[in-house]
Amino acid sequence: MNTSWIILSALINIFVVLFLSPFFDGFTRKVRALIQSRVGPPPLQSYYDILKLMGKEDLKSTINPLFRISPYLSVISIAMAALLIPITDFNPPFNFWGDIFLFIYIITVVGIAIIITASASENPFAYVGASRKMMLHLSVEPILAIALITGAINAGSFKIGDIVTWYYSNGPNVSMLLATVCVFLSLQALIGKIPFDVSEAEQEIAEGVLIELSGPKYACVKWANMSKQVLFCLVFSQIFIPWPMTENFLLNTIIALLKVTIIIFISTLIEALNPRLRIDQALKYNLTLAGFSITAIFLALLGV
Amino acid sequence: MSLLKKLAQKAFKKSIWVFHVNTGACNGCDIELLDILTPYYDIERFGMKAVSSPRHADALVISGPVTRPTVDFVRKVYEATPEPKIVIALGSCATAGGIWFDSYNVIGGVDKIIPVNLYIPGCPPRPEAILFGIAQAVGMSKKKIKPIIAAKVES
Amino acid sequence: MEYISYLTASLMLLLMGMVFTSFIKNKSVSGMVSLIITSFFSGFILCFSLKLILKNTVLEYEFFSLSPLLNSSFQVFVDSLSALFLIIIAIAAFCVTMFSWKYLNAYKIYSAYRFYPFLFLLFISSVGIVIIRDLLFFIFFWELMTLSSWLLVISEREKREALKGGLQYFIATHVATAFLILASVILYSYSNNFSFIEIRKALSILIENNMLLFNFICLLIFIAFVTKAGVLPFGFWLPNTYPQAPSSASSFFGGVMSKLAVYALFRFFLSVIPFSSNTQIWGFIIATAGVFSIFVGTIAALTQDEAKRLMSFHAIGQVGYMLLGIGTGLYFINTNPFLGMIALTGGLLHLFNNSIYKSLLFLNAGAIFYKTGTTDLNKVSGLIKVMPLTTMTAIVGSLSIAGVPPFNGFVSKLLIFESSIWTAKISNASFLIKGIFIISGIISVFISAITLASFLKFVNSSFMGKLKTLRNDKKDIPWTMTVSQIMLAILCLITGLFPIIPLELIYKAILSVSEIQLPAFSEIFISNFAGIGINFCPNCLYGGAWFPIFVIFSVLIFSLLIFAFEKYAQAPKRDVDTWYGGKEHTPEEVTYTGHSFYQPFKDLVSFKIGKIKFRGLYPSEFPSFKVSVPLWIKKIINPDEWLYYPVANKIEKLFNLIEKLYDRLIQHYTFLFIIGIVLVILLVFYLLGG
Ligand code: SF4
Repeated sequence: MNTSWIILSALINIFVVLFLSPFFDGFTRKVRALIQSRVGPPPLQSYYDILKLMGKEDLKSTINPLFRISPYLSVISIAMAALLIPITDFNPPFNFWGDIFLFIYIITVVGIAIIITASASENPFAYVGASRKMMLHLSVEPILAIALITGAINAGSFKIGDIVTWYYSNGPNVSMLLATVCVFLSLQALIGKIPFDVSEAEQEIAEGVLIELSGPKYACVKWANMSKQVLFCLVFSQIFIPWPMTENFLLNTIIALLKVTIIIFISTLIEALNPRLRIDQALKYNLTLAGFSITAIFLALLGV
Repeated sequence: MSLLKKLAQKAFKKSIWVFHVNTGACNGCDIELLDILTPYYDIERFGMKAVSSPRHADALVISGPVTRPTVDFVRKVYEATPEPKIVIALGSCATAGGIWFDSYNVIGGVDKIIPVNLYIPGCPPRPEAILFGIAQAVGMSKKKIKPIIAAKVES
Repeated sequence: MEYISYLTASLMLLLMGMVFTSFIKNKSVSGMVSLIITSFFSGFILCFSLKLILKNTVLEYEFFSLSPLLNSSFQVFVDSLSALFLIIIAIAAFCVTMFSWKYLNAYKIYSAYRFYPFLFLLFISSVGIVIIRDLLFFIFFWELMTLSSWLLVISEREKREALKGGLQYFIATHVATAFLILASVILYSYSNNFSFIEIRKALSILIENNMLLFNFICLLIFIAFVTKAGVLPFGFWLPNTYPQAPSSASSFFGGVMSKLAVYALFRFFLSVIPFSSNTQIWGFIIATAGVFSIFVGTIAALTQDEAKRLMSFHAIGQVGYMLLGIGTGLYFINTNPFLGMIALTGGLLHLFNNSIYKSLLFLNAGAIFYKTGTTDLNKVSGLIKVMPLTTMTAIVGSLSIAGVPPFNGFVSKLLIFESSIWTAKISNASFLIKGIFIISGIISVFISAITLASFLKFVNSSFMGKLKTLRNDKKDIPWTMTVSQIMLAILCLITGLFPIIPLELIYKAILSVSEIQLPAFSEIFISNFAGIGINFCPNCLYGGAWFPIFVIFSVLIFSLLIFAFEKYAQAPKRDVDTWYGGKEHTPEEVTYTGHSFYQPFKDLVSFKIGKIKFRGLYPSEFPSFKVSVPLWIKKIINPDEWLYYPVANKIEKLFNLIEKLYDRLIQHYTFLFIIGIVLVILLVFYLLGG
């Protein structure tokens, strides 16, 4: 646990979550195109999109200073969250910083940033999107929180590194498996993809929260959304399925990337084959799942 | 000019997002435009996609003759689109008014209101024609006449 | 000795302020006088309490005694806990007075002596509650606080709602005080002295002899304080009452007054009532009451459309967090001092933080009222263009109350969550109890998200969006109002970034109160300037951590990178109109009002039981009571029908008859008179002759 290791693995985390995320997005689009028997865009397409948006004109529809700042906050907080995920080792690079609650709250900050951007933009469509996004957040975050708390109860520590270490050495048990299933079922909602992309529904509310953004701001929010996909897939694959883990950090990274690719593939299948839910249906689904996932806690309390 | 800016301009040609405006078309052109999103033509392989807000758009596809009530809207849409942008007039109506060129309610082609970079005539233009036009605009295919956009993009 | 002079001086100042302001009618003069007096008061009190805490001493002083009459004396006792609360009072009092100075101009029909004297009385009574160590005087100050706050609530007595809310408040709190008085009478009969020390002795005897009575006393005390703190279901009056007072007064209510009830609860259960197995039971009860109040109060807050009412519901919810922390602490402090201390510290830290951001949020609502004349979230929007600084403070306050890092709410919530969840690892507690504590922890995590949602609604609908018509011109609010808000916001940020400062103060406070052996600060919290790590058991690695300075440092680096990136891209900028789809709209047409936020969620938590409508789990509409009484009862309770009217009719007939007698001419009377005389004479003769 020396400083150079911390910096190295932090850089790897940032690279995987932020800089590989457009590639994974391109992968998603390709898979979706193949399912719909199209050719699909080139794999680097999402990089082109972001680069192009960075150079476009930045339109300001309001004098509100928050509109200028908060889109960038979403990328920053995704980067912060990325530092709390174990990729190269059992321990995330900044394990000493904080625990699962910090992680949950940092993810919330991503939502807050986008919601504040939306409402600062003064567009009624954006307001509708913001309202929906907040509802989605407050219904889906308890599931992740409960799953992580299950791990914390099992491991006896709230730090992500300790949870993963415990899980790896003590093998799967019933409560953690249940938590894993719950997280998997809520993965689409966490990422914010179909069937849960109600806040950015293009057809209904014209991209909702993003409607007023253009240029670099839109690029950053898009980037944050892409990175969010990788981030949550990593959360699922590295915290809830930590096997296999080796001594070599490069090997670990490659294994993590492979796992993420598989999970993104599954998630894309779900996305391509399902229609969008209404917001009230999504709320009911998530809250029911959250209620169900409390069972995992009781199982953990029983020690199984 | 910074490197990022140059890269951005390079990327512009590879990812053109289209916002579709109907200024009074008979829906013939609109259906043809939707056709190019289908698996058969699949415009996404060129990195293009349809977006739902002009703020995100790089290209405005305007179909139909500009009728009097929509003049303001066309100007607003043009205002609302960030630079650099392409305006594509789709169909004979948008090009010059089409069969309604002398109607009391029609101003004429789109170029009477806002500058147009690319004309795709036809009533309605076939999807291949639309694809060809867009390919010309971004320089994927040989241009017969140098469009205005080429200067804009390559400057 | 010098300590007591500080205290007397500050109390004298407050009394002086009360007397002065009673005679000044002009609002601004009165406001200035009270600002000067309060700033001296706050300075004294801050100085005094910081000295006291840093030197780790206590102040004991007896002003006078009622000895021959009653075994009671005006006994001042200031330990670190009291000093902590004195700090809270001083900060809040200063900001509130500073805000009120210009704020009262927002009320047209309103003279200064409806407000300031009572505000000073409220300050005096709050200080009194904190420093006293005698039950009789405690009740005296308690009652004084209730009365003065009641007078502030009804200060706008032209409004019907104010009177109604005031009445509810008056009745509810006086019922609570009655419980307190009952408890104190019972206690006096056992201890024969009102001093807390004697009461403690009496109670420790009572525990062994009469368990039932002891629990009864605990129940009385619990209900009395919890009613004042606004814990549901006893705190039903709170959302109707707090919004009625002027915002600066509500700020003091929400920030300090309801927290004083928690102080009293803490003081009684930790230092007056001796530790026993009963403490555990009461800890459990306190925690459950807290969770109930968190859940119902906050979900009800989500459905509110009126800023101050929304905040009042949150006052209920936030008190729940404190009670959850304190209850968990009381339950575990004997068996597992590490966990117990973390929970207690979390509860008190949340109290400290809450008093800062709650005051701030009420002041924000006041600023909105000053500018627009209403706090209805459906009617205001776009205020960031008029008062940007207020908006920033409102965002800071909202994020703090939602517990978003790095603001101060996060630290205390972290401690509360983790302590209630870590109960799972305690081996000597029963499965059910552990389960309930863990569920409480999870509920509070979930409710945190709801708090965030409802405050984002507050911020979004009042400050963002298009600017609507204002009451007065488009200038910013007066600087005194802004400065008082900014001070509180900065406090939120500082206590969030350096949690070590308040934590150590609070830890000292708890150590000074409790009388059992507790672990030292450094054993539990691994702390340095950057943050804290939390130890949950004596020999394990620290299980929780929060190092805000590192986090902020990395955030700064990232934001530098991102903004440099953005600058490097050299994207041109342009101002445009909002895109509605090509059409022009007036601001009124396109604002998304506060009412529309979270409608599906509101529908999910609104239902009907019988005839009572629940909005957000909180009864919003009661059916009007119509008691149908049988006919005969109506007859009985209406004596007019069967008693008065018949008798009256008879008497009336009688008098009519008599009246007829007088209905004659004067000759008739003379004639009758003569006949009468003749008859009398004949009678006399007959009698004499016979
Ligand atoms: S060009 Fe032809 S198909 Fe297109 S809008 Fe005009 S009339 Fe319709």
